[in-house]
Amino acid sequence: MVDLNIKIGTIEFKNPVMVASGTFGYASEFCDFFDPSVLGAVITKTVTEDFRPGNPPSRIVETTGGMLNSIGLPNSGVEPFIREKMPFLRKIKTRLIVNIAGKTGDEFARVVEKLEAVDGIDGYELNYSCPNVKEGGLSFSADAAVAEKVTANARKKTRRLLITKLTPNVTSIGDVGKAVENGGADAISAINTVVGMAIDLRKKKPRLSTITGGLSGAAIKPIAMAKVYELLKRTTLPLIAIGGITDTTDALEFLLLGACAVQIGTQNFVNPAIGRDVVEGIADYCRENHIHHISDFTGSLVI
Amino acid sequence: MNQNSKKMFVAPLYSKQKVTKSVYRLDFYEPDLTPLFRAGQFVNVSIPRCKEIVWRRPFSIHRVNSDKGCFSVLFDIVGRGTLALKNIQKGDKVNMLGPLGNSFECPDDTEQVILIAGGLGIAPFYLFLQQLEHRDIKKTIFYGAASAERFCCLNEFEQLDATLYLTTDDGSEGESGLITEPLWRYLETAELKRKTVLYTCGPTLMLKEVQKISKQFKLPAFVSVENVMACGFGACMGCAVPLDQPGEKRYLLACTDGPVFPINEIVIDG
Repeated sequence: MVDLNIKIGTIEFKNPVMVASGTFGYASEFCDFFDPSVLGAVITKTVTEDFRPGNPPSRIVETTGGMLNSIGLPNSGVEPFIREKMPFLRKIKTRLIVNIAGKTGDEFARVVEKLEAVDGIDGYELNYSCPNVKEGGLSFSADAAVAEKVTANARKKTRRLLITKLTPNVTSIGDVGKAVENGGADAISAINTVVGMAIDLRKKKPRLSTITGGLSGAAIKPIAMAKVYELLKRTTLPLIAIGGITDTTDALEFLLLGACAVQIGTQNFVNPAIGRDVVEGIADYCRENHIHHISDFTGSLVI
Repeated sequence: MNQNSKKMFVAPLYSKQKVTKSVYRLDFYEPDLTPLFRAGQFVNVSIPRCKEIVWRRPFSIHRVNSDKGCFSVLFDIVGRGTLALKNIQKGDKVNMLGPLGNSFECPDDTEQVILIAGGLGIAPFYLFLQQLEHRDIKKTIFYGAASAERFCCLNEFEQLDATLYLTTDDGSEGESGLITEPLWRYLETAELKRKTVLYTCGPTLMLKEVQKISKQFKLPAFVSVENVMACGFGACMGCAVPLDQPGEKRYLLACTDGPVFPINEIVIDG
């Protein structure tokens, strides 16, 4: 019997496989393909205080081994989220992390405050790092001092698990990681998308309406790996690795590096049952390699 | 269509036909789902043996043959994905998601349908006509293509119980010019006492013109939009379609709110 249980902060997860915010909707979109209860956690699409329409088209471009997006965090706002999405999300028999973004540090705190009254939520992931929001989402994690303050403000509002999601588009992700650790985060998830751009030669125009967007998919896996490595050296927080995970091997590599869990992103669009496949794949790998507990494997990279 | 019936499935290629110089028709064997497919819906097809291609490719369901348990897609070779798809062989197994999206609906009291297609926009209308076969409705098709050799499956459309009007850009078949020109004339002279519904699919310019026509003649019209999409089932939110309304911009998704929309509810752009 293989034990895939992990613990982050005080919360236990049945396995280390999560689905990244913005790539799994509010889970109901995937229920025809598999039961999300098999996942370690579901992380919702970003919730903001008020309704956001999202960016105008075109919002996405396929690139070699990846994709660029500039979706712009469309969502109905926190109150409708609680009313319309939570009843279904609550029924999924696994951990639920709500991803949050705000234009200001205060907005982050206010959204947390509103969700505190709602049951069925195990934690929050602070999305400091969406590169597609004009109002400056990026600045929260580009500046270590601001990142620390926003985390600390959210920390004051909750005792639930608090994860801060970091962008790779900074000079030193290690500095920002250290700052959110000081701010009271329980864990770090990294990386969000890498700023990128694509051009249509025929139309002589950028392919995205916002000109630049966020690159994701297999193409960014080596970048993610280097950033997670840097964060592991600089902070003592549990690390949840994100970036280009398309199969069990990719997930195992990040666990081997020292991430306590992984989030699958873009691959959910391509193979909607990938989350289930990776959970099963990790269990199979452990059985074949006589690993009784996943923690015996985590961080066993030989350098 | 019940959204809950979408599945990930693997279907073997049953047959492949070259329809025009660059358009291919692939028939896949999938006896369980084929009877469920509705005109306007699509499948999102994984491109076999092509690792650098990330996304699936969405294709309208072109026709079904429930006796054989086959459904067909029709596609033009426009890029790496469709080129790779063209090269698959009989028996090759292809992973797909479907049926996805909503479908063309034809209200019970409809007396006439007019289908307006440009280029490969004709694809979903074959299945639509299959589904309307036993209904007592006048069916008229306006079909425009770049040139005579670009028309798809003309002889098969001719065998269906429908009146066909053709135009080509270069005049090599039918009238020369835009397909909406004979449509304007038809509607100006036609007996519009019948309850008529327009359906359209194809290039943006044509869709905009049909939008005008629908307003001018006060006829309900539905458009099937073509859009780039990463997932096809509402998760990526990449395929935004702007709603035509005053005030703050709002978007629908081509994959789950569409691909079929009332033509005057959305902004047709691009």
